Amino acid sequence: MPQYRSSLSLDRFLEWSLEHEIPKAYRFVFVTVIVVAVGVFRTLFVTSLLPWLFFIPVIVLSGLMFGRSWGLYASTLSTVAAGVTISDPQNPLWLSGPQWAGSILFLVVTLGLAWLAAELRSAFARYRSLAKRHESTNGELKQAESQQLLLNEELSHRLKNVLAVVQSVVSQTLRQASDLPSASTAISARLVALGDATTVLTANSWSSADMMTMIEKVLGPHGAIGVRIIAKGPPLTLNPRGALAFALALHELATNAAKYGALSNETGRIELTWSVGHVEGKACLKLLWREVGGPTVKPPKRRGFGSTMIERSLRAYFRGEANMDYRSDGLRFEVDCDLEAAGIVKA
Amino acid sequence: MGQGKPINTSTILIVEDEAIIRFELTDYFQDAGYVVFEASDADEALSILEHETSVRVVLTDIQLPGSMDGLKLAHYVRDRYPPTVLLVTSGLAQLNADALPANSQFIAKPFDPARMLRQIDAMTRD
Repeated sequence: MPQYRSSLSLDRFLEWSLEHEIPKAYRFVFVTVIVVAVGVFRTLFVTSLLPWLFFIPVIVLSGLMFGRSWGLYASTLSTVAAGVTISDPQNPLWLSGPQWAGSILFLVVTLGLAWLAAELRSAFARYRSLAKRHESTNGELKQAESQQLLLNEELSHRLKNVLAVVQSVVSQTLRQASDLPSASTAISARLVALGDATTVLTANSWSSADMMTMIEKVLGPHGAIGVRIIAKGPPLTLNPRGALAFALALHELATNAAKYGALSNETGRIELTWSVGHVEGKACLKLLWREVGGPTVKPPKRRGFGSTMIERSLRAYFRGEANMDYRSDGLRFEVDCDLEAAGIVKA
Repeated sequence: MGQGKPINTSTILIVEDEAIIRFELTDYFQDAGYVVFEASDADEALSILEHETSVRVVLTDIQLPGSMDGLKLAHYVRDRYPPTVLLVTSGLAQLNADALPANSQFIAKPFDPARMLRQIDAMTRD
């Protein structure tokens, strides 16, 4: 029910008349009967000195209730009815001069009254329509406010989780760093990688991340895509859960390649390929990072955050095998997991 | 009837689906002298609790994948293993205290690890 409903009886009456569409025939009968009834009443119970007075409320009521044309009809009919009740059959003009003058004056005044009553009805209808629109706008505003509140809560929740991830990355880096300057550099670079992953995720409302877009975003700063870094595989959408870890892993691999591997000279390149196959009816993802043309690789004496994080987190997020192989001709990093855990292949 | 658990051990079960966060919590508690078990969802956590009777502290995230979220897990642990010290975490700013099981604490993410350790110590002493 509308909330703007007034308690005034006139408002209620107008509202009722606007809400109920009465057929024209009924209106005609209603106005005619009321006018005739008032005429009869006046003839029986009221002096002929006041022939028009009791018609005025009927005219106003008709204008308010049914609109302009019915108000004008009531006014004309009332003038005729009043004239009939005071007419003299012996008089060839039916009415005396003053009675004619009074009748014409009554007609003019009540036509004006009927017009005013109809204007009042129209104004009320316009007010009612505005009030409804206002109510609807208020409803939309309230809905928008509650959606905004929900979004804020969701954003806060997501932000806190991202902060917890950042906290973990920073703590893990510090835990395994040999000195503060290198830890500081590594933390900054890892935060940039997280930022790049966040950009890709945010573009899809944090619901998924396109594999190729993620590769271009994270690896682009490390080497020309398509020249030094060759990425090839079917269109794949990563789950948001593993996308951050995957971005960090790519960043670590690329940083390692730039320091010691294929991106540390002018000719080496990285081949990043992925494919989808089936094992026992289940879709599987195979991802291979292969460095070619770089200097001879020597396995590190101590495993730092990078390699530990890459294997550990991708095993956890992608629920599969993740292995790093320090081959002398180039590093190989392989992930073998259920496709479902990593993402979906785009149609 | 709940099953009794020993209360003089420093063994913690960390239930967190975000692996990077879980790794850090694991390393942190190991450095603090805890024996740590880790699970990525409630089913894994329940399996560990079933087999590792030394678990004295359970730290669980609320948002977990699978059939049971962290709150349901916390209530289950409270009913099944009453002496367990329970810590419930989330990125949510606030959590209705009525939603938490008895004798448990809510810890908002990101964590203050030192404060978390103090809380566990205090709850273990109670």
